[in-house]
Amino acid sequence: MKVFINNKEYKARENETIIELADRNGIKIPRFCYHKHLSVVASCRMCLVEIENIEHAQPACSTPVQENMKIFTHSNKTKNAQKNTMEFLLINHPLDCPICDQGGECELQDVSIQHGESHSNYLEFKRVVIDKDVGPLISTEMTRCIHCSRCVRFGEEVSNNKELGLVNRGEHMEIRTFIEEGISSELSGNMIDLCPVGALNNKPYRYRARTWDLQQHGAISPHDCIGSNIYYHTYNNEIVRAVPKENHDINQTWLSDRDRFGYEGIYSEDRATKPMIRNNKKLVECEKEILLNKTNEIIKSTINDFGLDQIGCLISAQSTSEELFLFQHLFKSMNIQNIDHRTNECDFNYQENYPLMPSLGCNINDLDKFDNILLVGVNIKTEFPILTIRFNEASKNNTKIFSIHFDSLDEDFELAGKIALNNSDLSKFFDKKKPAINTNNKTLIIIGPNINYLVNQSQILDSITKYSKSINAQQGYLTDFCNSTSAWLFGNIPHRNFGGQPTNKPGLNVSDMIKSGLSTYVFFNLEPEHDFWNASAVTEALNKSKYNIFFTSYVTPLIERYADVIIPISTFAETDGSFINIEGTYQAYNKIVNPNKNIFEGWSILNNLIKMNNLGDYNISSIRSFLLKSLQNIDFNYSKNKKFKNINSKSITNNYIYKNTLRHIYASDQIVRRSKSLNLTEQSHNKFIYISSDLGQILNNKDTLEIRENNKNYKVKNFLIKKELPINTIVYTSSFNNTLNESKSGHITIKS
Amino acid sequence: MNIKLCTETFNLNNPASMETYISLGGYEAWKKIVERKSSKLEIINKIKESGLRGKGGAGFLTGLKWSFIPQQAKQKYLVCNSDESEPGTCKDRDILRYNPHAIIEGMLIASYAIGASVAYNYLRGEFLDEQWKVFNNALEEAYKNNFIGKNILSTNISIEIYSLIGAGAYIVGEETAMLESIEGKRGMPRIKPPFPAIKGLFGKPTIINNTETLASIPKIMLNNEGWYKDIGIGNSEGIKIFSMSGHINKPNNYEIPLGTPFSNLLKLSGGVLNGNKLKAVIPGGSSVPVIKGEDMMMTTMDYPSIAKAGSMLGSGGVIIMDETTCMVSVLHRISRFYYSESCGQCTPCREGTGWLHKILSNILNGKGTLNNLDQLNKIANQIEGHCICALGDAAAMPVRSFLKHFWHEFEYYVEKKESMVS
Repeated sequence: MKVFINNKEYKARENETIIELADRNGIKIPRFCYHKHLSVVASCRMCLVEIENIEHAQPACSTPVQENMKIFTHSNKTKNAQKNTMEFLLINHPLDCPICDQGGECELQDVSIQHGESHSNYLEFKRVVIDKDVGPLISTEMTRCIHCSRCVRFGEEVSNNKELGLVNRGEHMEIRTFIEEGISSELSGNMIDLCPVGALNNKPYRYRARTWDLQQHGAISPHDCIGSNIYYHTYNNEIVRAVPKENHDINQTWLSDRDRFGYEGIYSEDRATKPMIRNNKKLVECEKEILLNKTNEIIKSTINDFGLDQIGCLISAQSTSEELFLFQHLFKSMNIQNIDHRTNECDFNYQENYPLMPSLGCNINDLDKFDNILLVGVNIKTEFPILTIRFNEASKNNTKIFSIHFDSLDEDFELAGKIALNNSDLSKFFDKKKPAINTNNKTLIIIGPNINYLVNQSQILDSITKYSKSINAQQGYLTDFCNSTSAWLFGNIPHRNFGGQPTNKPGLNVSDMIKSGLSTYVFFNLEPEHDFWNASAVTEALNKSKYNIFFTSYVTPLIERYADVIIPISTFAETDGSFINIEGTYQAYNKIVNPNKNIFEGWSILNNLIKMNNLGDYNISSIRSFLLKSLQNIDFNYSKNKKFKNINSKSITNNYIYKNTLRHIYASDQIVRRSKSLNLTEQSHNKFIYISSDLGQILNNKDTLEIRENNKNYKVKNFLIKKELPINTIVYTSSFNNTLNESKSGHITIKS
Repeated sequence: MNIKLCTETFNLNNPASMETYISLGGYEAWKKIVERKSSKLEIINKIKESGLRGKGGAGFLTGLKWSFIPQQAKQKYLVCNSDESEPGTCKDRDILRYNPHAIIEGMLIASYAIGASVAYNYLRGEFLDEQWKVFNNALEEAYKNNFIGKNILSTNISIEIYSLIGAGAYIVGEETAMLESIEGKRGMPRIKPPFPAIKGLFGKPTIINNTETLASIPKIMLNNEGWYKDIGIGNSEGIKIFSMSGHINKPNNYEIPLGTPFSNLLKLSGGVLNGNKLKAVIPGGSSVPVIKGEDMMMTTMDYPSIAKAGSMLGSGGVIIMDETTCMVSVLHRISRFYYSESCGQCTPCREGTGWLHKILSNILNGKGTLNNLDQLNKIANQIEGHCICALGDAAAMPVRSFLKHFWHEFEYYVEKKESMVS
């Protein structure tokens, strides 16, 4: 279709609007209410343009192009119409740009420079709107609002969590939450980006810097396995805020609040800032060289004195691909096989059958191409908030989404069905009952991280795999950390080596390493208090062992008490790094801020040890090129040709009471746990223990639960009865202040 | 000629009852259509041919509007617009009160013609006390007699009619805002296109007609072709209710053939109050431009003639102002109305109506300047034609016409800080 803009011919697509055509061709049309991912309301009237043979200027955002249409974006008529709109917008907008955080990146400011007058004809009183307190993440200055309604439409259309709305009419119209509520959406920060003026601003960033003083660094968010693309903005070598980086295949133009505000955890007071070794039962500061020598000495002496199998190496799957690669390279080159990253799990019977690496089973963009999606043991709203947007799109595209879980949890997209089953029913569900879906349709089964914590994980995974094979469904995983894919792929597991190569002599899994009480433990990026399936067992192991080496960014009480060596390492932001997201996309980024002088980049300190032992010498580019080259040679059809091992785990009967744990959205990793702003949110105040109603009856109005687990007794207060829970279940939420004394999943008895 | 359509029952005993309506030939047209299973196209053509225009304000040809609806669509809706809120207009309120069955029959015929199985009558919130009850009673009676509902008169035709009540927003009288309101959303006009006939209520093809338009339909269907057309004059066929208000002796609703001279209508409503001199007339509800009294006396009450005089027939709400009227106060009052009724969606209307009102308040309080008068004109021009719906235009048109015809009065007020007439 031929369309003329400013007398120049352009090829337009069918059903395209003028603004889409102009945007595609780099022709600037000012706008406030229009946003490419939101519905068109044409209410700001800023994009009015002259069209030949039409009396009044028409909004470019809602007017579809027509054959031979002649559009003028810079004619007098267009300019006049836009100037008029600008005048109206500015009469009630405060001229407080010097104290407004939006200043310098304000769309209204930009347009007013081009289209505004330098003086005002408006001499009457200006409108004043009372500010609303909507929570710890968004600051409001509602007098600045120009009623573009982007934030409202975001809630209605994208996050499907309508918290902001329009109240009152005409000039008295206000954007606010209904009935003095705060905003609790997990995606609320996007409204800050969408707001074209300074009405909704980033609260933690407020007054910290002027935008023109910031430096922008592209990176990958380390808080979930989706790998959202993100820009960190730094001021004086400190991250002050984060905004989304557009990536059509992953996060589009959005970012979850966890990704946006999680970085605050980097600036926590318990950061490990100096190298320390234990000398005469006391931790003392030391030089890097002494630190490295001591570390190497411990490893060497353990191997010599106690044997290769007396050292246990544990790494967090939140580490970068470079760190994960070097970690396993260092230890596996020494023939140490006790390496694992699955610290939140306890049942490893399925590990031989597990695919080469966890994968979503499709591209994120293709989620809406399935007819059915079964979510097993995952709550998208709190675990993968950014995917809420994708599932929303899918459900609007007639994909039926079902949730199967041990708890009954809300989602912000439409669920076609929801079922809560206790652990034993969960493992039987796919064998016997079977989900009520049309199995002829294209189906995707996604297994979430909550399944991994369960004592009967292997049974459930086995039954799902058999079921999905029988109906020819695609099977996928969502993992609890951002780089579990790399951890599996690069061999941070005891039973396979780099690239899934078989090992002659499999090492111990994490659970066995902890249980058997080894002489030496090496922890990389792990918090013993929170990152393990059973915190008290870890404490016991740390107590019994001879040496404990911690590569860590934070010094927690347990680390301080039991560490023999503390190697302060960078967080994701202070090092060059890369992650492989759940789709399998390898994404690398460069260092965002420089670490303090006594904090070492994780990969470089590992490389120091590798060099000391003559096991090679790497730098970032050599690691990356090696990894990328290896990725090309890896057999991704790995599990298809493999024979499946039969799963023989203990059968579970209905006589137990099941204790299960949900990951708390803002306690999901060590950085997020320390984010001050996220810890002030409504979600973070929600730290209850839920019990099923049949247990509630047994309790008979008592306010204390006396629990017996693994021959130990402990008491729990602050629990609520949740009717929707399956019988005989207790559900914990793992969170920062609520350390679990016992395991994350297990069988317990209750004293009634 | 003394033909009455919508007002036929107004002066009878028990006007809203079914007996009264049936005694005047009510439901005959509907019965015929149902029994004969008339062709939809024939009905639409008959309405087209009659020249019936929408009586809500825009005066769009009703038959033409109906013919836009895609006949093959499965679900279609009819909406009767009884959200009569235009200042100066009070015709629909009386039709609802005295002749509700005509509306029901009209809605049935219209629903049948466009193939809608569900119809809604949306009443303004202020009708809750009286009209709402009367209409609902009538609806119940019609249901009892099987004129509405499932298997109407033992045929396979089924049409449901529901009544709804608004919450007091003028803007909901705008057809697409009404659809939003029916859907349970905030009453804000939609962008057109798509027009409601293609994508309306719940995204389905929908026809929205004014109460008076629908109440006129039964009689048009009952009579022979050409009957309605012959009542009025060319290009303004038929008959229309004019709500006479303001400085007149007998304010009331008068149903007269289009083309009747204004002087006759004035005589019919008892002349100007106290025999005063006629100063100005707003001929079609507060949204249309004002006309000077002497110009108005030369016009006839029909679309082209009033357009020639520089205004619009609109909803037929004729506001008569005599020589004692202060035009500054009138415009101030009108501007306050649009200021408080703007939905707030589009920038020009949201900000502009407030600005107009604030300037006019300043003038009225003796703080105005001559510069303000030019500014009023400028703001009105900035609003007009730049909004989604016509409310912005409706706020702008009175301002421009009042200033055009009565500039000297505004000038006097600004300079002397008092009204020219008091």
